[in-house]
Amino acid sequence: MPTDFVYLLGSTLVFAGVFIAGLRRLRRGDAESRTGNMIPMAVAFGLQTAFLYVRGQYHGRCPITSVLEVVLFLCWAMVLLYFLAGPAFHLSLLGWFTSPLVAVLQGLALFLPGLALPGMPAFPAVPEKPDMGGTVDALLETHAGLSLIAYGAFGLAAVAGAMFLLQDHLLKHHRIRRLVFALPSIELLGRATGRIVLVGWLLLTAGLVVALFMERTPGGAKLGVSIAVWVMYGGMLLLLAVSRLRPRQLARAAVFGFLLPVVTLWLVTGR
Amino acid sequence: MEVFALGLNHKTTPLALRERLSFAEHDLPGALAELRELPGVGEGLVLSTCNRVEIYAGAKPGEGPELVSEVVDWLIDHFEFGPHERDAIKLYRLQSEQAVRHLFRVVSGLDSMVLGETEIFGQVKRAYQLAQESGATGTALNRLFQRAFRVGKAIRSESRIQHGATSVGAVAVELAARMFGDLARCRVMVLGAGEQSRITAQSLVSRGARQLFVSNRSFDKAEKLAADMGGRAVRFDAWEQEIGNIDIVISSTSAPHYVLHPWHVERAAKQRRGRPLFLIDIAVPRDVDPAVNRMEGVYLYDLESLEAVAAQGRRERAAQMGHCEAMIERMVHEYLTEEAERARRLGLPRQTDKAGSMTGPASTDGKATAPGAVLLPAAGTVGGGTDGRGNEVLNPS
Repeated sequence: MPTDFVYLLGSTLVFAGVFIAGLRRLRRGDAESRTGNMIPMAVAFGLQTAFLYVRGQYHGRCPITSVLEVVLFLCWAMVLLYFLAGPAFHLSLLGWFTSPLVAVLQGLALFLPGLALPGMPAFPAVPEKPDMGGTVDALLETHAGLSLIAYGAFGLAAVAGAMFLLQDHLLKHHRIRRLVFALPSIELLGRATGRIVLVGWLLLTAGLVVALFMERTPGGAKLGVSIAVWVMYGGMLLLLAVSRLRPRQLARAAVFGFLLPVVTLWLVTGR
Repeated sequence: MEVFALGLNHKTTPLALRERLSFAEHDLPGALAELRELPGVGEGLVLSTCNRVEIYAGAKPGEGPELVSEVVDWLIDHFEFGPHERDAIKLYRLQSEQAVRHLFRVVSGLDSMVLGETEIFGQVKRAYQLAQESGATGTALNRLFQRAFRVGKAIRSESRIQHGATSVGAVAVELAARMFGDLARCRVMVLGAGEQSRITAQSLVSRGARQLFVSNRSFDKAEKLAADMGGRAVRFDAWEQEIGNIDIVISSTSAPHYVLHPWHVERAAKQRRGRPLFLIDIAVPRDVDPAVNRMEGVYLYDLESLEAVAAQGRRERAAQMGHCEAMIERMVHEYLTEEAERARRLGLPRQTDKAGSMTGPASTDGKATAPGAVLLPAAGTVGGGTDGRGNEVLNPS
């Protein structure tokens, strides 16, 4: 069994396990436990990193050459940002909510045929020496890396938005159960969603600015998608700044808006 | 040294009598000194709260029954009760294992009026601190109380007995925390200066809410409540202008119609900039038009819905009782085993054996305060058979 496959499978199973263990803790009433999420999330993140490292060794460059790798990079970015944003916003439960999304995306990447680059096996054997024959375009790598981390931020914002909508629904309809007390406050979730969108938008802006300096600018469809995503999230932030977007509307926009980056992933894949 | 406890609580004694038997904190050093002067009392501690008065003491093994009578007489005399009142006072008397179990249950909130409440832990700690400072405690009570605090912490961390709100005020606070997180930045408006408003507002203030506005048809009453709670009074015809800056509204006016309508919230929406608005309607008939709950960012709870959440909290706590009692039993057993081992090692005389050693408690609602124990009026004697009221009196062993 290829090493990278093992890493990916292990990471996916740990994320699924984080979610299931969290559900159990919720039933017991201690879902707010920080270490309960943090340690296994760190293990799963380590396995993701190991997968990307093996793939990087294989390609001799940033491992974003197929939809499979792009999905993995996106999931890795989401978890990385969770580790940065979670403690900052006191949102330890964000990890628990992120884990099923990551597990599903990685599960699809693992088992859906055709996600690898055409003509290339999904889990090719890693050569002993990396293929460093081709030149590495640093600007392209930076552009792609920043854009995918930005997409990761949008994914995390979608998770925070979903948590907002759930808490809002439970409080509005007086369904006061343990989950209400485990979830962060409505106000914090609204604020966190807005700030994570802002972080993602700034990263995407930086990625697009880098693209302007590339020798060979990305193709029309690829650039069009990136600009569409940039405009959409920029619009959300603008409306939020002028108080024309209320927290619940922002949460909905963050959840449904993330569909655009996800469904157009294949367009931004490859050179 | 053998430990015994005697006392009364909300289950055994009505408030009218309890309030006459309570010790003020500044009186406790004097009371402890008197207690220590009683013949045979080696150590002593007085726990006096609004729901219970209990005396814990250490005596040489076998001296307990006589000593208890001495302490009862001292307690009655201390509060200058006449013969008729003396008969009305029902004290539970617990020795060794029963006393240990009782203290463990008390400190864990299992014997409290509000099951699982945490305040009692601090009250017992304070009583212990005062007794220690007065030099009234010795090895037996020190070891027992320090263990009791560990038990209380274990119960708190390993069960859900203290989770969930059980009163309307506590539910309001918990829900407010789910909406705003930190209540320190919350601005609270009280409409109608009734008692329930005061209690609910007090709960929010105790959790950090700082800016309080009170509006009432009678401005004098609004001013009084505002002054009591460190808030600001607002004339009743002016509260609508303030709502844009308010996060939590507690409404309990006696108006026969709705006081707060959707248009009040709509008008203030721009000023609110998406901040949630928590409306607590505890008036009967209701003050707030239920249609406001359909508005974005507005969360309306009336008395019925708050009470439903409180009832759910009480049910959840009650469901934890079996688990907690089992934990207590295990920890009582561990403690007694360790104490017996320690006594054997040091060559100390054995304590009187467990249950049935003395008279024990029962409650006015018929439930025993400690398993296997019964109640004895203060004037009753400690011994076998039954007392004058037909209560069972257990034989000392």
